Amino acid sequence: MTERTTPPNPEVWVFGDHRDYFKNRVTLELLAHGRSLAEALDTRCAVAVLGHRIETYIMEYIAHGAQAVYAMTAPHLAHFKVTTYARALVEMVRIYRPSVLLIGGTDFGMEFAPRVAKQLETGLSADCVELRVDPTNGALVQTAPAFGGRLLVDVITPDRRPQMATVRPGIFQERPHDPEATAPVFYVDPVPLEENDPLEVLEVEPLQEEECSLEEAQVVVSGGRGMGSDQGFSLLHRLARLLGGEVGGTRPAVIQGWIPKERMIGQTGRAVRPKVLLTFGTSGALQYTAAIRRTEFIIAVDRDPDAPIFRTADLGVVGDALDILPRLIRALEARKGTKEVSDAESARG
Amino acid sequence: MPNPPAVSAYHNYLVEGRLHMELLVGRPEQPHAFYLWLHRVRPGDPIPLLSGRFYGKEGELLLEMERNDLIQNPYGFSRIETRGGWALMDTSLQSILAVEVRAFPNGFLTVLRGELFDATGKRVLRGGDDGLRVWRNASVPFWSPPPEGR
Ligand SMILES: Cc1cc2nc3c(=O)[nH]c(=O)nc-3n(C[C@H](O)[C@H](O)[C@H](O)COP(=O)(O)OP(=O)(O)OC[C@H]3O[C@@H](n4cnc5c(N)ncnc54)[C@H](O)[C@@H]3O)c2cc1C
Repeated sequence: MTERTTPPNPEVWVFGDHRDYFKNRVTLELLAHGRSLAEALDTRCAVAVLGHRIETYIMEYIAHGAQAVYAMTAPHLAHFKVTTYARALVEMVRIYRPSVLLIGGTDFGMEFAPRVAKQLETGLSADCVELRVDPTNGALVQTAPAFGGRLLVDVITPDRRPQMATVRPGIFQERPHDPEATAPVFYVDPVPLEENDPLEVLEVEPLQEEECSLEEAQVVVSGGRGMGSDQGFSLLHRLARLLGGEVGGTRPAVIQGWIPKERMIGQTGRAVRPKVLLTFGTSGALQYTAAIRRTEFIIAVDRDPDAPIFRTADLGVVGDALDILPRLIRALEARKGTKEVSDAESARG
Repeated sequence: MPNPPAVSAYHNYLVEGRLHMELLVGRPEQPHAFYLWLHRVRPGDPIPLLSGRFYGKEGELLLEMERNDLIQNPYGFSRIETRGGWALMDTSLQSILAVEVRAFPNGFLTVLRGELFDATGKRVLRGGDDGLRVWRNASVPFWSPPPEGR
């Protein structure tokens, strides 16, 4: 049901990053979390979206929980050009004065958000891993890594508005698509094209990255320094194949060259939320566990019984990963083999 | 501050470059006046629904339709299915209004093409690639239609 008037309190806004929409879900994730923040602030959660021919995205945002959409559309907004987009979003914020502005921590968002914050003369917490409302004063508490990532700190923006944060993809869970949803759409007059802009987008060519769907994987097999070598990681790949999962790892595993950096899990890597995560030889540093919290069931194997990973895990196994893994793989292969034989037999009749 | 009219997550019409879940243009309650009513399409309903009273360049009544059914049709127009929609065509298969439904992965956008005139023969609406637009300064009232029961 759509309300007839705008809410009395300033809104929570999410920037609509619709590039590569069906893969890049960060806007939908922020929208879902923005809804709960908005509820705590007795207001609504809206998406601010820029572009040209963006009808489908407006409708998608409504389906995924936007309670209002602010749209600026013009041919010169067709490309995600950071200077034009910053001017456009600043203009929208100045007109409608939201209380909170969330931006996905993508490569674009990391460059875009600071420009917007500077023009609005407000603060910005980068790379937040959690956002909540302080019930005593309604402030947005932005949890972000600080001091080189050694600490997670809570940041608030007491005086300036909007309270701005970037959040990396995969931290929050998007809402399901609701085709029955409706929401008002505010069309905002487009900002004019800059005169003498030194930056002109001629063409956009997507980067060919290694195919990696860690964020969407239902099963993730992850390894850390404890895997000891490339060969250790090949065991993880075999296990992942058997389970139909994806392989990820900690920063030391990337630094050692055992996995590509696209597969690093953690605060500076990817956040995962599979049904099951099996993690081997990972001590459980905060920068790693912050990105696996949304997993439904975590199984950890580490030879140190005091490893902090056991505080995050649902099931902990104290033991040598290089001893346990081959046995686990053999057992699964044997089961698969038995199943294939019996499938073949039943197919033969 | 009042909200603009609601937009649907499932199906909308493109009018004046904006999304409309439903829209009423003109005056359906006056028996000899132009109107176009774009009705709300609910999830599961595949086709857009239109009502309207359309006139020709001489101000002559061409047809009246109610929820896609022709209820006055002195010139024998037909509703012909086309790829992705339907069109109102006269006996020489000239279309006065074409309804094109663009399918997205999760929803639909209806774009109307053609020209519509009022009872004095003045052009009121013109539809093309970017949807329906009000013709220059045609004074035609836009209404939020009364809620439709279901
Ligand atoms: C700014 C900043 C950002 C960071 N971002 C990230 C990030 O995004 N992702 C990330 O992962 N890290 C990140 N880090 C690093 C992080 O602090 C930890 O150093 C790192 O996560 C530790 O990785 P690890 O668990 O593989 O290694 P270790 O902490 O060295 O743990 C290895 C574990 O393996 C166990 N082990 C050893 N041999 C075996 C064996 N044979 N069988 C079973 N267990 C065994 C040990 O008991 C130990 O618990 C960041 C650090 C900083 C400063």
